Amino acid sequence: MKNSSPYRKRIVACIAGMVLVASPLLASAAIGQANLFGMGRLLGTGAVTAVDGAAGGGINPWAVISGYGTNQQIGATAFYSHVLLNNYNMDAYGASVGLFNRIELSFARQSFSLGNTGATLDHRILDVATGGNPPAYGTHTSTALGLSGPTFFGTNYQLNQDIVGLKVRLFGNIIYDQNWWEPQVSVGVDYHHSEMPKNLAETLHVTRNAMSYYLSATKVWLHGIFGLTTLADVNIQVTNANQQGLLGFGGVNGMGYKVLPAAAVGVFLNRHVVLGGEYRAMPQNQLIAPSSGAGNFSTLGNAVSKTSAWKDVYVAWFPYKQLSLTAAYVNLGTIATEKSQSGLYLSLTTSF
Amino acid sequence: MNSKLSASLRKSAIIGVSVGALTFGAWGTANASDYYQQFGGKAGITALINTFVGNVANDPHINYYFAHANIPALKFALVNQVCMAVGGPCKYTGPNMTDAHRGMQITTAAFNYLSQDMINAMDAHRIPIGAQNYLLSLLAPMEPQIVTATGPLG
Ligand code: HEM
Repeated sequence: MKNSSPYRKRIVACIAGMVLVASPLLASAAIGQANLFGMGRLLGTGAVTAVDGAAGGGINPWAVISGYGTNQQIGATAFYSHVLLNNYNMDAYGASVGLFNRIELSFARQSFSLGNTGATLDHRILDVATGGNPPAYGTHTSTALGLSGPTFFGTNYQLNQDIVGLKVRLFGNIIYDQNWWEPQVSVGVDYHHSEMPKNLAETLHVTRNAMSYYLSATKVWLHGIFGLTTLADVNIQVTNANQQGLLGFGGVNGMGYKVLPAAAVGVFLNRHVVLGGEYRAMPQNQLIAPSSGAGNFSTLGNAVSKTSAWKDVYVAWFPYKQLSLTAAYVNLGTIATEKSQSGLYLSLTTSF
Repeated sequence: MNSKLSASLRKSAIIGVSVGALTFGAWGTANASDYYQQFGGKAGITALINTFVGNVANDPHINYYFAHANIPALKFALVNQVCMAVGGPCKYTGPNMTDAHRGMQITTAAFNYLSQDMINAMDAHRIPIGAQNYLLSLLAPMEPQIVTATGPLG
């Protein structure tokens, strides 16, 4: 406040001079205003893209806003991920826009391929539904068994899902909040639309559209473990998505929203390579038939309903802001009766 | 004024170290004066700042901010500031960061480009990553004092 008027005069003169000097040099930037489509954040701060399309790790959204835009800039990303499990494959791709390091809008499309596992599941369904006396494979439809489901999965069956996400940063900054405990905190809401056939949804007793919600707190210590930049993220999810929505939403007992944790850690070995791990609890809803119900369908329901927490260990490489590559070993546990679904996750995000 | 800055630097150092001790106490990170050695002492820091200011002068994202700067005075101030921050026997005697950058309309992007210029300079001088991160963790929290240009959503 003191000396405000001489200060102001000097500043005005200074700014005028700077603007005069700068304007012919740099049409795109001006004092006080960064280039709208510039990438003014630091390398790595856009993180990578989770399978649900949000900026974060591989399986969890984090509190960061996608891309490299600052509070004056707009950034965007596109991603492609492939997950190679023991009995399934998953593809995911999508894009996002980060507005003023405050709002993130994202879209992702996931395709979960059953491959040959479809036939295995068919056999299992038949076996259970007929009490261990399955007819010759291919001679019966599920309708004949009293199921309203599809005429079996066969081979190359795909479960597809679209996810539209909105994330808003509430407060905090992963880089600048170094001298106190405050993390960067964001809330997110995802709208899921599963393309599962109606009769399959009816058999499973799930809905095909649902919202899920999360609160994410991400903390970065620039000078963390061993002096290396260290990241920790904790999320609270509110969701009824079975296997993240690939098996629909809710179950026999209704909407089935659960409040569940997720977490991630990472250590930057240098400015380009980060090593870490993630955990994401999954809701478990009873599908197909009540667990206590009599008969084979309850047995089948119990088996299909089984979920496990998702986990991964990852390494991500940021050669420059426009590109990140992530490789991970994921363990998604039991998915649709197939146990220990682990394997390789590969992902590419491009930012611009 | 200088006492204000040194107090705030000391405060951030103390908080930084105690948070570090709380969070990573078992991991045995080096202490500040080790880092002063890793920066190559006063001579190393002087060489680093020369490279850094050169990087800034060649950085089209931000060099226009320095069009009318007194470069020798700025280098002198920065050497003392960095030296003091990393535990060296120096004293920064200039204005605090709010006063030093008042009215300059510095953007977050400019702050980050300048940080990247510092990272590049530290890489060029082969400063170990722990020492680099220690300095960056003391500079990063100055952002709210230095950046005054706001965006449409804050
Ligand atoms: C943590 C980051 C920064 C630190 C530690 C820092 C430090 C300093 C110091 C010590 C001075 C000298 C003050 C004096 O003796 O009067 C100064 C001046 C200045 N700084 Fe910064 N600064 C930082 C970021 C920035 C940024 C991002 C910009 C613009 C892109 C900037 C532009 C300037 C300018 C134009 C001057 C005035 C030079 C002159 O008038 O001679 N600074 N800064």
